[in-house]
Amino acid sequence: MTRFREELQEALPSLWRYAFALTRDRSRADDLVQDCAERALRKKHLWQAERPLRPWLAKMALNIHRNALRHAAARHIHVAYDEADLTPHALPSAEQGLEAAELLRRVDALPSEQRDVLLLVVIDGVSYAEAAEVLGIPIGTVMSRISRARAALRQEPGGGKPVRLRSVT
Amino acid sequence: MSDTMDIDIHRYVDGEMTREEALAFERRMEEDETLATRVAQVMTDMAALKAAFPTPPAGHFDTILEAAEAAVEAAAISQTPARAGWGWQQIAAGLALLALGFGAGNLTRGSAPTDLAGDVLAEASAAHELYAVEVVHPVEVPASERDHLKGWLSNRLGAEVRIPDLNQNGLSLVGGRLLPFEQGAAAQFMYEDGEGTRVTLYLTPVVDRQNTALRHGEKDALSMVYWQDGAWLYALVGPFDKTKMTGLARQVQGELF
Repeated sequence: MTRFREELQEALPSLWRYAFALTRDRSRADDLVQDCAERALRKKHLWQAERPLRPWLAKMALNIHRNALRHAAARHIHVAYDEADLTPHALPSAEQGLEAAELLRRVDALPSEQRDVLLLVVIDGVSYAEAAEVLGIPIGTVMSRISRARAALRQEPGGGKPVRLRSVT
Repeated sequence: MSDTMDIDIHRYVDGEMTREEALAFERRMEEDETLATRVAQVMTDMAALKAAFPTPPAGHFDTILEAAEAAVEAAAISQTPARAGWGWQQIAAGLALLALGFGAGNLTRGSAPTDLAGDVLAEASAAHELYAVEVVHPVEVPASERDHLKGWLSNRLGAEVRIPDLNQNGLSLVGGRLLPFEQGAAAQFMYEDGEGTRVTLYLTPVVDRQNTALRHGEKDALSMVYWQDGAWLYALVGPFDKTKMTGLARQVQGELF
């Protein structure tokens, strides 16, 4: 097995979780991860062995996802926030912190630039420096966005809002 | 709370601190209950966020990686000229892997692969060979009844069928027909250019939703581009060269979008 394949294989679980965080759908996450893996395999000659693969994959996933959203927006498709896809065992108990569904609603309500940084760092597990590279922003901006995102997640919601559908139009 | 202190919380939680920095920060937490509480809050929130997303079993990623490798290999083979017959089957095998579902609970690894894509290729080329040469009855429903054709095929295939317009590529619609495919049905649209050269688009709905890149194959004098877009598998068949067929396929993709 080549080293490249090994690294790719190791990166897939966190990439999948990141893809799921972006798409909120298992089969779309599968598609996105496979798409990234295909691109990575096709372009592996561009990969420099001393550089970590994970940020490169994350960047691909984000770009492909954004393109898909743009296409969906052009077709006026609303992507529903799919609570049914959350497996029961994955839900944290109440005392662990914010309830999962509520937490995800707040994540969805974040400004996209804050959400991008938060998901990259927390779900995909890349470093601040890598997130800065993926998003093309200074590392200081990564830190301030992380900080603002987490503060916003802590804020009480503004009363009994209806369940939010994530509109991509 | 100062900004610096706030940033330190995040650098600590996200493992961005050096060992020395982390130890110093932990000493500060011991003396500052507010700080310690804030850190604990952030950590529990992030644990909850991580737990809110499912993690598939490890075998799932092997399946995805193998499918990606098969697709890349298939694409590489299709770019290698003059290996007709052999390349065709390799590509079909790669696509068949792609056509397998990867959804949770649908891990088909180890079970016999359904050679769905290979069957589509075979059917699409056979249907092209059979009907493209037909002079009197090349289609069941002619292009003059386009709306009827669309409604009828949508009903029979169980999903809305769109008929791509290829006029700007010099191909006008001749019409279409319904064809059997495995347990279900498929549609074939026929187009022809000013010289009567015909291109057919074969499409059939499939259970496992996928999006794939365009892939190219050759069989005898026929060239074929095929791809899957969501729940539809498409195959465009014609006697043109790869470049022209790929261009047409892109036009079809654009029209169907």
